[in-house]
Amino acid sequence: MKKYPEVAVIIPVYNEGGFIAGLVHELLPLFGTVICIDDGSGDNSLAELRKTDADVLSHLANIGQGGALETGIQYALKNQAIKYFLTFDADGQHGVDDAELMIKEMRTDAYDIILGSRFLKKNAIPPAKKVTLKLASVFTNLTTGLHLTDTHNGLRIFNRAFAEKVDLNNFGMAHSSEFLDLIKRYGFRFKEVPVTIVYTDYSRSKGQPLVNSVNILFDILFNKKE
Amino acid sequence: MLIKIVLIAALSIFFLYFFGSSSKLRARAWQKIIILLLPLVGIASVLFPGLLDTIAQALGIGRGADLLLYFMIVIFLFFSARVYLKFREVSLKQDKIISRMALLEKELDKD
Repeated sequence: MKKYPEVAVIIPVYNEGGFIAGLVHELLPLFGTVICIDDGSGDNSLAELRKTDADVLSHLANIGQGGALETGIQYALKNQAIKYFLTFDADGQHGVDDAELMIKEMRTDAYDIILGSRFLKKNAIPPAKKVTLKLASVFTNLTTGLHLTDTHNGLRIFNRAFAEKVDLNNFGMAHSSEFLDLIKRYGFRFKEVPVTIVYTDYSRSKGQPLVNSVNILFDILFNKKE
Repeated sequence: MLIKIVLIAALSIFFLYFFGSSSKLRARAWQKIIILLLPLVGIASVLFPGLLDTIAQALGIGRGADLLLYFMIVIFLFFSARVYLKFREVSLKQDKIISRMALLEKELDKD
């Protein structure tokens, strides 16, 4: 009997061939389903994923993490046994321990969505990245009216009521803001919990270039148009 | 001096067009109007060589050529914005198709 049978883990995968099988094997025994979406990887990610027992979906071309999450969430919703939807990064930045704590909170039914925040506990964060993220937080808080410490964290868990409202039409990296937008629009109950973010050399090389912040900013501005 | 007002107005409209929620029909209508007017103005300025200069001076610029230049810049901005917006729209639609396809293929695999 799995520890969290009612939880679906949704992992967007982009060029993580060397790493992803290990992560999947770590997660499979614990969670109801592990859903991996290969977002048009150029390496052997898809082949590696197909070797595992995860539910694998594949995009024929790269559309961005937001798009991959959308695909994953829509797929997860079809399984009526799933109550909670956990988004998880494929690059080793997130920890299962934190996920487990978040599930515990969700099970109290006091919240519709729980978001991880790397700023609520001591994390070693590269200074440039820290500044960018804090600025992004300030900006997003201004536009959404919510007050969050970490607005661009990929580790989050939400219930079915929330999942059904998700429609990440802004495929790309600004999808994080899309989640917050939903909270504001529908008044979902939310909470931030401290999580550990591990910046290994590997994940640092995969991380977003800071220049991309400009793109994200633009995306957020244009989001209101759609 | 009048040109300043005209240019600021045109650029403001451009800004609103780009950042505001533009009615597609209205935008397309304006585009058609401009595309109709342009050749007419072009023909007129060829038939009446001093025409552009006259208009330019009325607006407070020295030469017709300068007027043409300012005009071209504004048109170019609108055109670029149009292309960008269209590109984004198409891109988003494509993303949705790719996402839906992934879900459909998974459905088919199950059989």
